[in-house]
Amino acid sequence: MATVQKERKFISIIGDEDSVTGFLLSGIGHLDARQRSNFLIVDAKTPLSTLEEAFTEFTQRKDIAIILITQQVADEIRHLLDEHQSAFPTVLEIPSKDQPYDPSKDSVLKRVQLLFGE
Amino acid sequence: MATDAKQLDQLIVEYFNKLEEYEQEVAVLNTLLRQGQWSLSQAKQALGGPHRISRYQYDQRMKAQLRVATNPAGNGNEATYELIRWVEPTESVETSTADEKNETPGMSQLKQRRPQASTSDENSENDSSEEAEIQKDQSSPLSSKSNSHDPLRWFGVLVPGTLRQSQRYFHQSITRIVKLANLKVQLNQLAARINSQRESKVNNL
Repeated sequence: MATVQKERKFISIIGDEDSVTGFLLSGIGHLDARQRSNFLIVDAKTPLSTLEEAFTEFTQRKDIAIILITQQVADEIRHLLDEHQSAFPTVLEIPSKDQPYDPSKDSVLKRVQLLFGE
Repeated sequence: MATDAKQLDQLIVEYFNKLEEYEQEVAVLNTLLRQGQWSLSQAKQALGGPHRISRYQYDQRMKAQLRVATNPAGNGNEATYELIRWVEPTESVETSTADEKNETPGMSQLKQRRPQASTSDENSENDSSEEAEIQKDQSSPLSSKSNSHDPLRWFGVLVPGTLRQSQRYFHQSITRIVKLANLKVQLNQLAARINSQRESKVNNL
């Protein structure tokens, strides 16, 4: 099991075009031999099914360590984020370009409420 | 019994310390991302429109230069994720690894063929003062001596300074993100320990 986790090496990103471009500028973007990418650009035309499939794929891939998802996009697939209880890959919500970050939606802070009550 | 209660208190204190650290990191990340987005918007404006910096310029052969080393046994004292700068084995002969040494000579020649060609291509571009500036600007621990695969190049050779600035902000964001991911793992581990401690306390009653 530990060996499997050690193969996790990529940081993936799901978000608006500017957020994805910014993070790819930093050098996290990767296309493998099968042209599978570790990022997804979400815009108004992106079907929800595509978004759900991408998130599920990223959570199931054995080479992804961290999934970044903009909060605006995360809101659309909140049910999938809540279902993801596994430690690996680690899912982190980040602010999107058009919407300020809402800490009350953060899974870590939501867990505090569960742990210590309201 | 008293020891259990003391242990639980210690765990809760540790949990809240980590939580505070997490919130501080989130605040820093938000600022960095805002600055990165702002610089990116300025770069787009400088280049003449949003289509000049978009998904259509991405390199379809991109390879991740920033990766993480995952240590699944990581706990409160040991980080689960560590940021590493990855250099493609084919990128330069100097970066030969143990794996390459085990390869057949034919393989290594094949591997060397491409980088030599690309190096000669890149040399002409490296001559410009613009590139020298890029290397100077990227004097972060994450930057490498060779910037032939720098994603900045997807958008042209002479890119606006604001785009480089944006890259730096996003670089810094990645460092924070790895810290946040480590903190999240540690907080989840602590939460699990608190829960099990509480359960054992109830069972002992």
